[in-house]
Amino acid sequence: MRNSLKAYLYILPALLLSLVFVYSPFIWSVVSSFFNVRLDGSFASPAGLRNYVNLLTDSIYWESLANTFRFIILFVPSNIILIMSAVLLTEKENRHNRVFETVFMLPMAMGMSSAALIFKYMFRPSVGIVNRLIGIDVQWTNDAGAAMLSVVFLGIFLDFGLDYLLLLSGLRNLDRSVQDAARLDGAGEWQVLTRIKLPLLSPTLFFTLFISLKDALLISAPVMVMTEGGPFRSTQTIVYYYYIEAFRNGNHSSAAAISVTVFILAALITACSSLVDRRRIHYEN
Amino acid sequence: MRKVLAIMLLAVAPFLLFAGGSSEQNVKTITWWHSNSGILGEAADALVEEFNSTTGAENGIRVEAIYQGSANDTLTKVRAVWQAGDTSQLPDLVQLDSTGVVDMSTNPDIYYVEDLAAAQGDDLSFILDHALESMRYKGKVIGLPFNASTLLFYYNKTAFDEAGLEAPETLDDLIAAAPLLTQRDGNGNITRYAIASVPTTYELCSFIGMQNGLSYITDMSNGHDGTPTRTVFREEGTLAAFLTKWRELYQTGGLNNLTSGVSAEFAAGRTVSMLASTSNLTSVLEAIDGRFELGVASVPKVDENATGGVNLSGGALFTFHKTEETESAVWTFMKFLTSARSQLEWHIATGYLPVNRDTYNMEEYIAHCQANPLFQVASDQLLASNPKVVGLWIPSAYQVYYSFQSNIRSMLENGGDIEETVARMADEIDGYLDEFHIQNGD
Repeated sequence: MRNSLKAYLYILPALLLSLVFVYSPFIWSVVSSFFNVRLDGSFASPAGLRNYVNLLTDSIYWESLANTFRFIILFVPSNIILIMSAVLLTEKENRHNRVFETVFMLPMAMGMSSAALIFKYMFRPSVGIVNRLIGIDVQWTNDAGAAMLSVVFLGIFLDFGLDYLLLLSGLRNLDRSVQDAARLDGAGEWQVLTRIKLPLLSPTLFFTLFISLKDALLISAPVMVMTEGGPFRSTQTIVYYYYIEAFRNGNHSSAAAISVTVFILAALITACSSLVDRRRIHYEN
Repeated sequence: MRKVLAIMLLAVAPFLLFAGGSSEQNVKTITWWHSNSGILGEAADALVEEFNSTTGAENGIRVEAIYQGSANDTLTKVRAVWQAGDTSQLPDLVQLDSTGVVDMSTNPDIYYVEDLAAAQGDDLSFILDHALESMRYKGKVIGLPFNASTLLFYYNKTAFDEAGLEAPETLDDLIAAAPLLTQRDGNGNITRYAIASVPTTYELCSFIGMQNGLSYITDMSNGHDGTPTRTVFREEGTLAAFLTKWRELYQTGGLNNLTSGVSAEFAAGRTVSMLASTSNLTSVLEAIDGRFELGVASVPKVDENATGGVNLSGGALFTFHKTEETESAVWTFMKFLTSARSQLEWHIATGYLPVNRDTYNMEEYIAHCQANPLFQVASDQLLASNPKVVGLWIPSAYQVYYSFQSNIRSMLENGGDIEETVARMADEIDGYLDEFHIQNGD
């Protein structure tokens, strides 16, 4: 009894914090989504399912959702492939690679807003350095497709450092003996990579994949700084739309309904990933 | 244990002493939340310092200026305090832009500046009519205009001179000039546009407001007589009249539907004219850096009958019901910020148009305008405008902004019908307004 009391006391601070900052706002959002809510946040009248019905018929909602999925599809695979390539290229521990490691991890040291602002200026169509250096004339801020790509580049830049660090340390900590044995048996480097390294690395790989999937679903702050959802809402993601509804338009009930749908999406992704985790991921020992 | 307590007490003791010693007996401190950064921030700090060392010191008032991020961030913070119901946390004075009025008008603690002035045995007659009208809500001035600006037509005078053109007075002039200003490379790609813009709320307040001497986007005089209930530009034909000209302009090939980075394109010489706020004048001059001569002119008229001019926008100072002592101190500081002298200093430092009517007659102001004729054009345009042409105060302002922007661009690029486009915008915006009234239970 005494022991379990002690255990409860230990988790109390964390529990209180999550109750105050996570669970209670969440429950408040769920409740709000079933009411008409005034500008000052007070409830005017019950709305039943009206806020949800409005959402389902709101073209901007669907557009924002589509933008989010477009971002996920562009961001998640290219992010993993690029980072994995960097990791494989710098796998060996030596003097040269130490330089590259620093370069690749450096983005971690940069604040999100600063990076987003710098990207914003780099991608200016006529005066930005990107068009100038590559010698192209892409209307990054005015063309819907190009604007989304520029946000994807920013997303990769922001995620690069941490994911690189995780995957690199994961790869370097793999048991060498298996790889050496395979090489002795005549396996080529490609076989070693696809048959041994990647499967052994799968827990870390899966973890970074899941985190970047979650980041992509919830992306909003970089969008807010870099494109403000524009041009013509083409980079307005679902969470940014939520922000606009709640904090710009003062439309609390619609914002609450959006947040509930985002929660359901995130919950679905989590459920799927834990399913994959149990069935497909190999853990050593 | 006792030792620890003793050490703690010792550590805290100096602070206790300080707390006792620093209780300033006769100085009233008031807080001012603002959103001025960069050049604006320096100018605002200079005004506050000047106040604290002169008028403030004489009257025992000390102002603490707190930068709270962008105008929108500042509003978000005020809103958060308001929703938490803790009015003691509200600042004594806050600077917000026009999007803040919708919130402020429903804030139970707001103290209309016209009432505050009256309670202090004063009035607002020293403020320019245009500025007063820009902040009038339901017949009473709600906030004290402080940083005033209007829309202005910026043009590359060097390019206009080369083409033998004057600044356009009407959209027809601009349509006629556009082919002469537009340049193409060998492959027919446009390398220089006549103008870059996708008109939305700010531009339309002027382009619609100027028509027939005075017009509005919505009922309730653009929200100045209460929350709007519906749009009026469809019935009054004002938006269609503007779009007819604007589409002609697009058909010349000289209009670039650009929504961001317009100033940079202008400074780089890729577009030879643009519509922007007068408050950008200083930074645009800096960006051009002498590469070409800058010219500014009044916003082109939609047609000959469009004589209303432009609306005044920018920011204003809002205050809340507090103790009598605080209210009096706030009024003293507000008077200082909008005095003829402070508005002159503020104008010279930032380019914002003076809101004090006496500033316009000051010798220093006239001399400054002679030395910087571009500022003269900006203030002439304002003074020639109908004060009743006002900005739009509307809930869901962000959605309204995008409704205009997306529909206008889509109409131009996909060849849509003007009447249908106008109807779609009216329906969308009316929908947002209906939704607001349902949510707010009125």
